[in-house]
Amino acid sequence: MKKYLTVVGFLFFASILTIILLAARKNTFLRETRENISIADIKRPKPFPICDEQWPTDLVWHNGMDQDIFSDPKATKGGTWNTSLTSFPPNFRQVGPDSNSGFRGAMDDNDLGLVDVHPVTQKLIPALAKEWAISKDRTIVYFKIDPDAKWDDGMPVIADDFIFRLKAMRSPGIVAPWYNQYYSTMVSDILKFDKHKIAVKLPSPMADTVLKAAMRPLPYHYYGELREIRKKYPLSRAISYLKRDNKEVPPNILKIKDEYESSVTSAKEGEKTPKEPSVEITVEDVEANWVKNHNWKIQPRTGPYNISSFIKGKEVTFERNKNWWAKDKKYYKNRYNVDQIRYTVIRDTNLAFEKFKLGQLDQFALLLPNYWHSKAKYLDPVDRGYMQKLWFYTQKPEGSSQISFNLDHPRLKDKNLRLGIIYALNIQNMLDTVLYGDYERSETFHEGYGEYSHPTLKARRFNPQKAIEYFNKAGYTKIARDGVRINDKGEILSFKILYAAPFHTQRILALQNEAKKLGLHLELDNFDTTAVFKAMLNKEHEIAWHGWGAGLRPQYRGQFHQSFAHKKQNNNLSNLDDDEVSQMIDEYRFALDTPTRVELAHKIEERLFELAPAVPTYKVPYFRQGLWRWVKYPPFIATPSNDMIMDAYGLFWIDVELQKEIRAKMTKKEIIYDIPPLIKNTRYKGAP
Amino acid sequence: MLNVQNLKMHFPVFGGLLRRQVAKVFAVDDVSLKVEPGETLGLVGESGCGKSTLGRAILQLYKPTGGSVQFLGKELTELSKSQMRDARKDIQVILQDPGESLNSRHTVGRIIEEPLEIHGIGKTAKDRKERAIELLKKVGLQEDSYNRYPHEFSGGQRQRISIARAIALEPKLIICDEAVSALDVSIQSQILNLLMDLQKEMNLAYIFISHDLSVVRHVSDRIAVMYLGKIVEITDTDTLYSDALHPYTQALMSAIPMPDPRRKKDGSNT
Amino acid sequence: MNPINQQRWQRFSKNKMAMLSLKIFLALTIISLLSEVFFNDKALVVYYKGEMHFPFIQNAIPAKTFGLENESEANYLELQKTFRKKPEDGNWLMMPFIPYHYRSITKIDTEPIDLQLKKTEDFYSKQIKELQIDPNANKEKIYQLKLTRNQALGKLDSQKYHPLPPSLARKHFLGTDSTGRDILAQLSYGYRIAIAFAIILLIINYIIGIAIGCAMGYLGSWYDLLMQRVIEVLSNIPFLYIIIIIAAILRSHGFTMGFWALVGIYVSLGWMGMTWYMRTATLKEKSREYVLAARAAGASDTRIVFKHILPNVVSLLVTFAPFSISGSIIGLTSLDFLGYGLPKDYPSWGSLIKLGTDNIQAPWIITSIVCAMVLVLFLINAVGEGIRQAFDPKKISHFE
Repeated sequence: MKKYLTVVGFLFFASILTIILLAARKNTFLRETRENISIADIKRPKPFPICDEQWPTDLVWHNGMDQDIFSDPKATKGGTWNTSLTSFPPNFRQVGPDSNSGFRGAMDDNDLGLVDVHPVTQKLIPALAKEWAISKDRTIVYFKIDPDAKWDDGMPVIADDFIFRLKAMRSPGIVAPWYNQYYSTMVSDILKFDKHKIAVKLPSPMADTVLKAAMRPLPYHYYGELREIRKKYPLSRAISYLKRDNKEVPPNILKIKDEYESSVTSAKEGEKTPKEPSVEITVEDVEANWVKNHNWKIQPRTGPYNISSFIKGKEVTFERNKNWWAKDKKYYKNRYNVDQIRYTVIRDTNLAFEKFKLGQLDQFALLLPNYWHSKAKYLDPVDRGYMQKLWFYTQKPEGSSQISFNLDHPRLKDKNLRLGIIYALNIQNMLDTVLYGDYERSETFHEGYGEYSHPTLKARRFNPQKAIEYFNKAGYTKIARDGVRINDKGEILSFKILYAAPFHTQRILALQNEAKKLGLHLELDNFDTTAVFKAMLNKEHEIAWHGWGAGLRPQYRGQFHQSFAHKKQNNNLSNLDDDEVSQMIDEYRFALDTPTRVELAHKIEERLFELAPAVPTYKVPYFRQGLWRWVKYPPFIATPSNDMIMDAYGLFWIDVELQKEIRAKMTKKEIIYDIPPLIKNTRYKGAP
Repeated sequence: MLNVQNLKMHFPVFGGLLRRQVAKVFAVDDVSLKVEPGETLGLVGESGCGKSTLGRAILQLYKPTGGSVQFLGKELTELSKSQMRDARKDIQVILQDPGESLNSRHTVGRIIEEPLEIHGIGKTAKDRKERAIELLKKVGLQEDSYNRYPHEFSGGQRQRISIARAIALEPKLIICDEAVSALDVSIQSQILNLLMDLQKEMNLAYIFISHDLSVVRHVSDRIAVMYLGKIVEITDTDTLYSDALHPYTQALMSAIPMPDPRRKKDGSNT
Repeated sequence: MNPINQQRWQRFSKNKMAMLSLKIFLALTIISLLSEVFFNDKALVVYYKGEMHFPFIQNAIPAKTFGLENESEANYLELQKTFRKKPEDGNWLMMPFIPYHYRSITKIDTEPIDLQLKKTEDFYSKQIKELQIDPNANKEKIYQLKLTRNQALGKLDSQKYHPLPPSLARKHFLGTDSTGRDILAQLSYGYRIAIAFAIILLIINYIIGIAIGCAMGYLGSWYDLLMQRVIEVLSNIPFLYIIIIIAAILRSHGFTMGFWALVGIYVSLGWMGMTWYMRTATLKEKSREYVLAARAAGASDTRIVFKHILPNVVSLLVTFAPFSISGSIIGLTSLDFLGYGLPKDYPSWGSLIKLGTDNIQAPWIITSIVCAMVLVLFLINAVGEGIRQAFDPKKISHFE
């Protein structure tokens, strides 16, 4: 018995000791590093065939080398940049299920395209392509791939990698219907002329032709050859895919098509139309189980950084490619300076802020007014000269925050009523009180798009007299017991305002309070975020408080085109059904030259202002952050396109010596006086 | 007046996982008896022999499993709910424990008026109150008892309230289910005398259920002896006490305390 | 009163703690019911040009009635100022004890604060500059000065934005929240909603609970079995999910989650609690002899249930009521806290807790609501405990 107990006791303590040891060295044990494969071992897949067409000789070639550089030659390499993630990415794929996490951007930033956009002038600059040219009919863009371009495993970037991207994105194996659709319709083909010469064919002439054709490659040698599989698709899609792949439609499918079409035409009205049949066709596909196999694989990249190691659930480290092919190119010199970028998972923002104050993170976004004005108003590290606060106005497309009226609502159809409500919304007061006065009023639906944004249009401001005038015009002439207006039919002037983010409650309460004084009651309607978005897309709201992300150019179609009105699951939240606007949107969409498009954009904005289906609310045309002093940046601080100091442009660097010095001073609490603690740069503030 | 034929009262016993019926308890098994107007039938037997069940089965408080109960020419087992309610006017019950059988939340007046109210006797509340007070007096209680609660009375007084309630509808038959068993001996006789007085006055018939032979003997004209759900013997009181036929009756008789010491325990006179 | 209840009341009133709690609870409830009188941005009485107005119970009175140039409802705090400037007119008005409604947002006059900020900043900057020029100056001293400046500025600056700390002068006795609404007013109105919610819920739950529980106990057989299973199924549904799902369904049919919808949801999943007790109590009472006696007298089932059984089990209901009220209050509060409760512009304790935890740098919000919550729950539970003791069957005997 005693012996037995001794053995059990020993085993018990031994296992506990092991667990403690494992826990203590968890990071070392769990850290996974990227495999290094030498070039010699890489299997080269079968190259794609060279096309039959001739390389045109009469093209006008551009190389974009006439732009100014936007980096600082004083930048030095080295150091580690510490930053945080709110959650660990569910996988390292950039397409497929659950790939659209915030972390994807960090990987996307290191995938160069064929061309890039200059962050200051918005003109094209070379990236993987050294030169480019557009065909006369503006449907084909020719690219000469830079012969220096290499993947970070040492393999050269060749034409096949672009063709592989197209084919992979069209394949069913990536389980990404949106990509399948996009690459099937927006790009019709890629022609290979030789290793470094390609042409991207577009389905129709489009504005911003080069950018539309400027694809990113996908490493063909890494993912390997495509295989052919049989796959079932609905009839019409199957036929379009066959056409896309330049294949003959087999007679049996043609027969099925005829049968189906005749059954549709013969179906009587009111009868249910017959279900579209599915047919099996041969398509090219990536390797079997691609999604599962590539969850945690690290793909070679053309950009300056790639993931070097990670601990699942805790951190991801990117390492700079010391032999990056573009490191001495004109526009890439002196950029991407830090050796490592370490993303640590910190779920709680407050905790991240505390870590920043201790110097464990190099920067912290102070965009939210309560951080800038309250929590980070006075920071000891700033006073001691270790840290700097930066407020930089940018000039890039703004996400559009707005209040949309549902025009399908019987009462909101009345434009007088809508105008009354707009004049009764004291947005400026909301900005001044709740948002500490530092968000700005949006004038139009698309701000920060350079010349595309309307230069003179001003949004309607809070105006009690006009509000009352329009309410009276709309028939709400009497004031009911609780101070809310009422019309002859006994309908009270009260609308539900639907919004998603719980922290917007304060903002809407501020609006509600002011509107109440004019006899307009806004009923707050907020719920679970996903449910709210669904309700908005289904047009279940009366008034929606929402925002759209920014694109490269103003986008009107999704939100204002009549083809989306009175239908569910789309972005026309106002159900705006106006012929004039829709016609202009169509023209805008297919117009090719910039002046026409700009003029149309302005006209559309004016017409939208007149119709008042929605009202723009506020914009945040700047970034604000706290930075430790060892983070250095060019004298012009940042470009007007920057999201932050640390972003895709990588213009900053870390002064490793200064970092050591400051850390030493921090322990001694010595004070540094040389640099101003707060920098507010308004160079790009105001009209573009 | 009351004619009970082959009355059966079986209770199922459930058991097992699926709550299936696994056995039956024959509480009353094939019992027949008759009661004439103005007569008192004593029903004796040891506790658990089924005498109370028989009483309640006659009253249709339990639905009998079989047999018939004819009362004033009506077959009680076949009556509908409302017909049964009418029939109840003529057949009432006095239960053993007056503390339990009187709702402690109701005043005495309300308790006595309840049957009147149910059967719509007395047009107004005032009429009913008069009647209730009359009944109270009849059973020997003060008029001011009307507004008091049962727990303010002694056991004997409470049983008087029960009696007042039972006679409120002027029934023809009252089943006294151990009506005096819970009382002191001195009070028992008072209540028994009250019952006998009422019987004379109102020409009541009683079924007097008791485990106490001496009480039964005091009031009954005839006595039925029950044993394990069956009536083993039914004769008039004197015959029973002189020559009990059934061995169970004999055993039962020998357990009675005798007021007359000269009398032998076997029941025979010396 | 029934002598048994009299006895109970005597026993209850002897319990000092319970009696005191009951009195405070009733006082608080009455104050909150009269919130409009105590916490309101509308005046109680306005005397203008020889006429009396009672805005807090009247329809909205346009400001032009009182000689202001505005068609919308008068701002009585400003009106008071104008009246005070001209005492010779003889106009006066009386504001409630706290001149804020739960939804009124207090505007801060930032101008004087800005002025003061500038002054302070200049004051310190001048000193710092002087020290910096002076080559002999101690660096430590400059640093110290900077810190004092920052503290002084920070203190001033915090007055510019809500939440504001409690202040007697501003009549925000418990301060304001981050939107600028008075906390005390919100507590009072929020309490009213919570208690109304709890009591309505109690009544509906009891009605359903009694009806179904009694029926289960009294009718027994298959009905009892069926209802038992139904209740078991219902009581195992995860409440929060159901709330989310029901609200989503309601929204898709054009309803917003309002007070009554919430009551409905709570009732639909909360009526079961009482049925079990009622079922057992009914089963117990049903076999008592007085029920038998009533049946022998010809009483119908309804009569037996309502006149005999119910009055005898009602004591059970009374003892449970306070605990069920405090339970409902906690339930509503936690639902509001999670954001699935009442609409966001309702005064609610749950959203106050959320505000408090979000603005932990303004401790008066969370302190007020937590204290209020603890106090009210303590009072209700003390009353409940008193009732329970008064009804304690060990101390009372029905028979001698």
